[in-house]
Amino acid sequence: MVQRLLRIDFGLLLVVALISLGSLLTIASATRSLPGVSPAYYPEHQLIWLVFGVIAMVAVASVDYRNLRPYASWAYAIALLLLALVLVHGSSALGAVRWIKIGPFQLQPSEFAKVFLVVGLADLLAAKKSMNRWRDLVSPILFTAVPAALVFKQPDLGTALIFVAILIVMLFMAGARVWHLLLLFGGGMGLMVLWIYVHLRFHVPLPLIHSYQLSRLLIFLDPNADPNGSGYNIIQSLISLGSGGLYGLGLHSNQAILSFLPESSTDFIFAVVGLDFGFVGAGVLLVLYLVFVWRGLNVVSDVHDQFGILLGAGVLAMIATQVLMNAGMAMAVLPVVGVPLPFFSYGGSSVLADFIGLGMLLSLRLHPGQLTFRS
Amino acid sequence: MHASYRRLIARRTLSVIIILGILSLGLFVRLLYLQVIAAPVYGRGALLEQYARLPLPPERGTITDRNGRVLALETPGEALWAMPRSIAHPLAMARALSPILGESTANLAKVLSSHATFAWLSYHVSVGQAARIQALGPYDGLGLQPVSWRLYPQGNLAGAAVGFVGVDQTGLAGVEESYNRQLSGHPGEEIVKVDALGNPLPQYGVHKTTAVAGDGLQTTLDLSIQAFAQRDLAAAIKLRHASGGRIVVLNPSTGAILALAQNPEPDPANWQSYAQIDWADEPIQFAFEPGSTIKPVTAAAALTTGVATPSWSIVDKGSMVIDGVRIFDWIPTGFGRLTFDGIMEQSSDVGFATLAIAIGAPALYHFYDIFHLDRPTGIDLPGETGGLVPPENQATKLDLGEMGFGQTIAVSPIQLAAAVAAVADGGVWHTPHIGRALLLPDGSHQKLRFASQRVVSTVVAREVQAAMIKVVTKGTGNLAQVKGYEIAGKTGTANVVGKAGKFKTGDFLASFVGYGPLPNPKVLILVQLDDPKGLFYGGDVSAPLFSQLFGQIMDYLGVPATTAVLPAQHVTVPRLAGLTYAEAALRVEGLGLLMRSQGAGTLVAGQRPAPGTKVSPGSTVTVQMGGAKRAGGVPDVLGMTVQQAYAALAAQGYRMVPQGSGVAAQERPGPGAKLKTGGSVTVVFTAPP
Repeated sequence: MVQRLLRIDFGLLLVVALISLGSLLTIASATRSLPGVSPAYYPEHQLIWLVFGVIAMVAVASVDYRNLRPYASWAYAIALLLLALVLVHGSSALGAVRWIKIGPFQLQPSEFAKVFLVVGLADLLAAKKSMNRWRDLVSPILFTAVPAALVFKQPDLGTALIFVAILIVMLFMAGARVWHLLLLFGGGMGLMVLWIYVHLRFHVPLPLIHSYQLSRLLIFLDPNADPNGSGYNIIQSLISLGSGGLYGLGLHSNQAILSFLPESSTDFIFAVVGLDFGFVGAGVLLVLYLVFVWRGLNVVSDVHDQFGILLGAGVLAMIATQVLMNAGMAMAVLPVVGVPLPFFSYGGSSVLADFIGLGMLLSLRLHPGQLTFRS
Repeated sequence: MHASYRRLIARRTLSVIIILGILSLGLFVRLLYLQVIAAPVYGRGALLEQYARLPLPPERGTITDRNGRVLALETPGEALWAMPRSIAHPLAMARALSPILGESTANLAKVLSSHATFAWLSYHVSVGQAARIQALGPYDGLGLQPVSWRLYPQGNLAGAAVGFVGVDQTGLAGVEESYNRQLSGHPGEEIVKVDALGNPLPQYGVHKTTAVAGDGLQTTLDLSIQAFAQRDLAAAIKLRHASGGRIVVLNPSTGAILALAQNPEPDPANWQSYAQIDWADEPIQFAFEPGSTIKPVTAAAALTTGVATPSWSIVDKGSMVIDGVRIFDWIPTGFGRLTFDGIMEQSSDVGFATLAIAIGAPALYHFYDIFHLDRPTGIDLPGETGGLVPPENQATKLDLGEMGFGQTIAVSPIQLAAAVAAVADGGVWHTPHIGRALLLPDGSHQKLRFASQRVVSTVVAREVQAAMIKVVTKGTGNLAQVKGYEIAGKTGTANVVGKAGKFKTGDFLASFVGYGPLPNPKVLILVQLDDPKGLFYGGDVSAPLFSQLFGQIMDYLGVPATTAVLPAQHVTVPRLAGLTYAEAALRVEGLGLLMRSQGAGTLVAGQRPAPGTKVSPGSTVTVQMGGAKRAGGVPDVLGMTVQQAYAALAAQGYRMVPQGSGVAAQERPGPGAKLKTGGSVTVVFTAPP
């Protein structure tokens, strides 16, 4: 038992511990002067979520990941059900309906759906004998498209994009042909850009989203075009990052700037890191995430079955995409779509989901199973 | 698991690492740019949005007349502001405020739902509106701020001279504009650190600069004299069917303006309802051909240069030829031998043309310059024109001759009044001005000073004045006489240069400029009436207006009569039946009586009082118009000047449509033709051979 525990990748755990610690400090700083609650409210709650997260992580890690396979379809079905429930019954925040109430808790099913999608896709792809043909891509794409469509409807474009990113990485790691993927997703993206261009140039109607939603998405290209409207968040994020400078202004140092930054403990928490800890702090945080992914890939490369590899790759894809998108939108290089920073943003659902993912990564090491070499 | 799949995983893991590395590098570069290279820019952005500046408007100074009667003052009002980021339900608030402010819900909602820290919703909230807003209950992010409004308690009295302030309390016309800097004072401001909701954070300190109230302005205007001038001007315009007119009243020994009247006079309280042109101070901003009213300046120049002496004389045959062009006197038959005083008294154009040519361009232009006729006087009112004088090197002999009697040049009424005032004050030219003193916030007065300059000798000024006295006692200006006071003056009848500086053919400007009582003149009055119908000579229409106004001002100022009051004269009312309106008016007003008409006919059918009745000068004769069209015809005007032809046609009730300049060469319809009264006769003028 002890031997087995020693197999755990402590580097991975250390990185997550450091990130979580930074999260508590930053949340405390970001929420200190929010009206109506005591300054301890948010960090305390985040700490509670972290504890729950660790418990969930231990529970998941203790289970042999192979034993998850029979429940993959159930997890997928439950995820779809919850997402559908949100659309029928959800509570709204900031114009989007993302939450359902379970007792005293507010649950954000889309966060859990990410993990369940990873498990489900790993199961589906591991069962496939071939990934070389076009038609081999059909079932995983449909499998992803259904929950993606449900979150898109909320509307939660960010999570839908993460689903797509998870799909791409897992197809890639499952052995799908590179040119298939390039043609499919590269082509799809190109088509989207072309359509947006045609829409802006010739006013051809857009499918799926409204014109005002598109302009809100594209405002990051020129936030000063609407500084008191849709460009406001981005400008405040840039002001926070820029005010932080090289070394940052320190914790609690500049509440005045912070009060201007919306979503400072969730979607724009990266800007708070930049403000309090400067380029050095924000850079260290990004490096920690890179170390996390590097250690994670290390773990994955030791796994001997395809389901395990895909499970690990899916979890890493989920974490890495969120980091890139969250930091990217804080720096105005990506549209603002509302994605939490893993292990960092305030919120129970995302913390729990991230730690469940981490538990799966740990499980890969804890339950190596039989070495099966075939030539 | 196949070894090939293992190799594939290893390869693809490497690809993922490379792609992730490239993306991360991109983020690092961007982060470095934002936090290190561009950091100062964003730091400034942070500071800018963290401080709210609440303007503290200064109290604008009060404007009064010379006796302290208030023309413009500040009164406290309320303005409604919002801090949009603090407003929880912008749309609901917009709906609530919309009916109170009379602003559309959509417009209000747009402001209220913005992320702006601060916005004004209305500068003018009445007491009633303020009460209704307060009745909505206390709202975060909405408040009333005491502000100042400008009140103009005198209505349109001296409206154009006072001017008005725009919504931002900046003077946009009149003394409100020219003294804007002194009146407005210095705004203060309150700078306070705010959070994103716009809530002040006074723990960081409040930086407050108090506003400095503006200076009060005491003008030289006298509201009573202003009221006389406006009322008399409006009445005269109506009586003479004139298209407009203006009056300048000033103190000739200081240049202080007592009244500036024009018609219509705009009301500063409703400044938005007037066109911009209505806000021009006509006596300051518009130039007119002065006609004979310029002759005192020509006379002063002639005496100073020695071209003429008081014993100088000329034989006036009624016309003279200059550079091949024949110019005529207003009486084409001439006056015979005229002395220096005589050419002034009879307003002989031939006499003054002769003098001007003898003076020569360099000397004449020198006098225009020192009398400020070729440049602005420097009056403390906005938009002053400098007049129009042909360039000296281009002035022909004909130009010089015509300039001698006030043609081919244009000057503003204020230029003309100031020039004649220099004669009145013994040869000293004073800068005309409307500002008397500034009342500083500490309660002290600061008298405003304006330049004066001797332009001709006292002796010359007295000699010109002596001629001008004769104009009133026995010359063309005899209707300007005021019982008990000795007056010097000059009549003028000139072609109209329109407001845009364009020459308006066929219309005349009837002027009179005069001052008194002598020997110590208290007031100088310049009267101009645009395009009077019927009588149009300055001596006929403007001199009576001068007389009426001057008499009132003397009564008001309590100036004792300096000459023995003549026993009341009596005038016999003439028989008017059968005459046209114009003919009747000529007869009646030539006797110093006023005429009023009733009815719509073309000929006088009846009159009251009856012919032969003795009445006192200035009484009104009412004529009943009626009757049929009178047989007659278009008079022969061939060979006449523009003025003569106009008079001849007007006497028969016709309007003249002139073409060209010089003397009448063609007439359509021709002489003797039957034409309905009021019809137009086209007269073509050409330079005489």
